[in-house]
Amino acid sequence: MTEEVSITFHQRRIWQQLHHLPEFDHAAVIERGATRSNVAAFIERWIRIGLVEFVRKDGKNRIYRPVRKASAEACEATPRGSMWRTMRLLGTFTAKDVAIHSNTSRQAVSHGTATNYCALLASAGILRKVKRSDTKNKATTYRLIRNLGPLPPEPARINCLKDPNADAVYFGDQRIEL
Amino acid sequence: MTPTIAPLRNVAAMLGLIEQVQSRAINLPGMATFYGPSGWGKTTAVTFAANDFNAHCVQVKHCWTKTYLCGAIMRELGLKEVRGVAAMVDAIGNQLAITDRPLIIDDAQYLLRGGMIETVRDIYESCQAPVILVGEEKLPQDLTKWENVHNRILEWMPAAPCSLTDAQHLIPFYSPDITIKDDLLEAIVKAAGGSIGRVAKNLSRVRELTRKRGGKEASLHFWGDRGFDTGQPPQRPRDQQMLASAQIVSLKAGGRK
Repeated sequence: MTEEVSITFHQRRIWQQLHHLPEFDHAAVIERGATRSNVAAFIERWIRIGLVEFVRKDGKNRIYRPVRKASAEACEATPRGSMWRTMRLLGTFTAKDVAIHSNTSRQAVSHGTATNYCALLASAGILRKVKRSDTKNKATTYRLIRNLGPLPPEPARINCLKDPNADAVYFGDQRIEL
Repeated sequence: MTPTIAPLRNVAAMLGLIEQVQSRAINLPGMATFYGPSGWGKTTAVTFAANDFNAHCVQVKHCWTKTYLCGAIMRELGLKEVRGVAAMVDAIGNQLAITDRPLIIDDAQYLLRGGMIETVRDIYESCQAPVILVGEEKLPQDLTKWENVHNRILEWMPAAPCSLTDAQHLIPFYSPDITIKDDLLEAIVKAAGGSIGRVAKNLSRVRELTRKRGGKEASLHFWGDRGFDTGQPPQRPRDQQMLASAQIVSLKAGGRK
């Protein structure tokens, strides 16, 4: 697993606003969306996965600083990372092509895993299904139509609040219309 | 267990090449080239090797400039963009020096204009991480123009055409349930002219026909005189007409004598 992946979506949103600061304390994290009750747990988790380190105690305040680390460095080899890299390099491919190119000695990628991931990305509109005459009634050929960047898109479950009156959800303090 | 393409000659060569550059002695240069004609499976080798070594990979395009090349590598490394080629080269160099992950540059023949190859050398110099240039057949000859780049190449690895052994490794992927006899496989490899993609395509066609006929085994006799995909474009109808009329003229001319 990549390190940044193993923190929740909410934590990552806070982290993105914090990581460029030279130093920060609890109050800074709360300002950016954490609560008094979960801030300690967030920071503890970040320390454990190596994103943050403790610097010093300033009176009652504990001061932390981000560990300088680019996201690509934090990205270890994962099956999903390999499949995504394969898609970005090949451009047009079948699920089988993805499995063949990603199944290395570092990590195994089965045909089934590749099929599921392709279907997931296609449903999000990142891949487009291409019909080709020489593949009729055979495996679907996909084309990558949104090259999002080096880190692989991943399935995530998010906790949010739904407002049935307006068909909208609240994620943190952000309102998203459905 | 999904079979692996690691035994394919070009894939094995590419894996060996990166391994060699990564584990080189400290005083040896750390760049390498992998070159060969289009269609021989270079991109397959690059993709597999990049996954195996968790390498950064960029595919250069003909229209790229120095600035764009640096920007593309920055994005690939997940770095925030900074202004100016010099600053970007420094940032890339720093990052690669820390991670020591290999940088694979596909279609490196397009680096040979606009001074981009010098930029790549700068990046290599500032990180000393493995840099693999993958390009067309002429790449090594063309690189001789830049002595300072040429001197930093540890190994020149040519891509190999698809062989019978390679084709045998492809059978589990493209025709897993059909036995393909060696005579047919040889004919397929010969018709493909070294292209691994065409071998794969023809294997799929053989499988399709065999399944349609309800068979389990395909030989050259079974395939008969059906053609293979050889990658040759069809002849222009007009050329055929001109050829025919030229023959008629020559016949007439011959008749007058």
